[in-house]
Amino acid sequence: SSGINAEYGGLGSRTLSLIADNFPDVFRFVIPVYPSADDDVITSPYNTTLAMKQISEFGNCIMPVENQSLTAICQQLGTAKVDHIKHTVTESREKAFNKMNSLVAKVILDITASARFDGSMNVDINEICMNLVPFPKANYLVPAIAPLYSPKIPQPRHLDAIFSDVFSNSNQLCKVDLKKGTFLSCALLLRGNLQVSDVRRNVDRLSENTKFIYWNKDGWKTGLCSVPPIKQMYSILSLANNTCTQLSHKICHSMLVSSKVTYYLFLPIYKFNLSLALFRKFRISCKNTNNFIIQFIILNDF
Amino acid sequence: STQSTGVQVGQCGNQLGEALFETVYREQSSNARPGSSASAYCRETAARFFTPGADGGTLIANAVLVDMENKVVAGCLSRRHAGVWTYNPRCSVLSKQGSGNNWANGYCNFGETKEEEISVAVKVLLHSLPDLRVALLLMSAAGGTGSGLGCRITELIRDIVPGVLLVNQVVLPFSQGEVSVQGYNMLLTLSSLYQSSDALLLSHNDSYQTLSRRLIPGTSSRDCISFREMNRLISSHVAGVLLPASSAKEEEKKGRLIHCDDIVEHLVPHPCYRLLTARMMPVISEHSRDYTNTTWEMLGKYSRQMLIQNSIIDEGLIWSIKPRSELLTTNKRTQNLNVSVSNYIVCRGSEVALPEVEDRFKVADLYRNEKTKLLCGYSAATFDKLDKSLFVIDNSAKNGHFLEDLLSDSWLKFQANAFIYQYEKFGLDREWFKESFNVIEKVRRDYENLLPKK
Repeated sequence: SSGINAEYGGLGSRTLSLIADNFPDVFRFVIPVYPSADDDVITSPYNTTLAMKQISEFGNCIMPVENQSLTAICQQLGTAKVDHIKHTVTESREKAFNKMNSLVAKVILDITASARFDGSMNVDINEICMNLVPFPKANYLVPAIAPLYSPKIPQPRHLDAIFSDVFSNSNQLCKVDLKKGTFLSCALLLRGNLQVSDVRRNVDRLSENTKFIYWNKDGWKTGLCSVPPIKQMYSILSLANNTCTQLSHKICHSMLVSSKVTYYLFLPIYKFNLSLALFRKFRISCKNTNNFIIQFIILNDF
Repeated sequence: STQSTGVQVGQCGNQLGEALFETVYREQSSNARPGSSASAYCRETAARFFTPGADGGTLIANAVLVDMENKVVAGCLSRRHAGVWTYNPRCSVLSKQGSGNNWANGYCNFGETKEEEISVAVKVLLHSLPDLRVALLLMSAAGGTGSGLGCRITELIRDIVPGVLLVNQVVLPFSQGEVSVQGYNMLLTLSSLYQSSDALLLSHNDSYQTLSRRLIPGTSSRDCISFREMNRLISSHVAGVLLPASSAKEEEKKGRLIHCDDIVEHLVPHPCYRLLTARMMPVISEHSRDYTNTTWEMLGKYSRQMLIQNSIIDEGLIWSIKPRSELLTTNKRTQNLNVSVSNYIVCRGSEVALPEVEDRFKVADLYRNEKTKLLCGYSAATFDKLDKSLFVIDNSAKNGHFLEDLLSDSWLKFQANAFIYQYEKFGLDREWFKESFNVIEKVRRDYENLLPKK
């Protein structure tokens, strides 16, 4: 059995560490949602950095999702209403978030499909962790889904197309360039009326263009669930453990050093009288994100 | 008559086991005709694999079903196959968590927590099988339950009934990755079974998928093959070997019935060599049967060539590779022949001319130290309504060929220390892995040494 935790912030991190302490045998899947660069919560990079430390320590499998990617996908699907001049989302925040959340919900549904329905190659949730995480610290998995469903977009005519699509940048829920890194492992979770030979054929084809690490050349984990998502014939979820995910840590880094944010950096600290202990935590988190500049500033003040 | 039982472990084991019992039952009922020899065959088949149910018309499969997830076994238990046979729900052990593809979880964790329940299920089965001689454990080597727990159950049955011969039907995964840690799981499985089991009958998914294409007429490489078709084929191979057959001696007109334990004892004369492969001819779809005329000569010729090249498919055979005695040229260099420790062939069907087939397999070159070790069985009953069918099960040198890649790939991972922490969580350590590498390396070397030096 395993727990799935999609969160953003302090309470989520604390819940995660509580689960880890009280239920050490339960696999903890975390889906942290990263804020977009223009997020209007001032302390969001600060919160994100602190949360990441907790997540990395207590989560078994971490599937980062970026708001930016979700917005882009919603745009692609024609479901997000965007002002083309100002490049801002014009519909209500609630509606926009609902659409974005449904994409994340799809990821969770696809992961649990094998546990809920029948299939010829069941993939239990704990199998995902076993096969995709070769070292306890290399536990970031980039999620990508295909086909991207919307009434406006025609469904792919041929089954093989969804395998190619899921490896294109625009289908990922987190903007990292998988082609630049090396794959440590990759899961392909399929739903629908597919047979094992359909999978074999496509995995053979994808293997030619995918760079796996030398000791895990066949690092694919495939699952077949016979029940597709509603209104679709087939769907695929890929979870890629790729070395380029270290770049995702740079999201925090870039946000923290951008001029807008540093101005506000110390206000919350003074305003809320944060204790030294919490501050040390922040310093450790920054180490994770390679942010030596911030460290230096903090040390100078205390 | 001898009794045998199946033990289905994990998703693959249970799906395959069900297909096997379906095949056996199909043979039993399709050969049921008035006439003394036919009915003796049917009685023997039923006696080997089933026990009569409480009410007259039903049969209960001799099987124990184990899985750490509930969907597959629940499915098997719910079905009344062909309206006649069922599984015994008291001989099943289920759980909900799954083993997570972790051999150590299956072997160490569930092996301990589920030991009691499994012992009880096995003993319930044994109660109805006083003449049990052979237990066939069906499992995959790549998963977590079939592989890990399957190995533990093998040891358990050995403890409960030491006199029974254990044969493990092990399904090996596609070489192009189904499971990242399949190499480790295969290594741990094979090394554990080499210490606790009597014989390992290996099936490679790659080969069976290619072979399954033959059964579907007009199938191109793009068409889909399901596990169902592959399981049916594996079942045909296994059933063809275990279904009743008699040895026909020249002096006697009527042969002695060959029991399952005779087969195992013949195939595994030496504890170093325990890897078996089953092959069958012909493999043709129902549709093509009307157009195909088979002769025993042809079946014998093709089957032997398949054995020589270690293939289960009768395509792509290189006929120039022959035993020395049959080479036309004076250049008698040793070729890439397969060398067997021992073989068992079974001819099923009409007008069996056993000496014809036998002679083909009695060539000294094909055996270790040129000591021919061949057992022949025959049965007038047909298999799968095929007029003539030939089954070969061998313990030959090339059966160990795949171990080379397995060892090198897994060693790379082991040196990088990849995934090891997952196994360590359940009590396995690097020493256990090193031990497994040693055992399998020895098996590989032993099999390689059977082949003549170049």
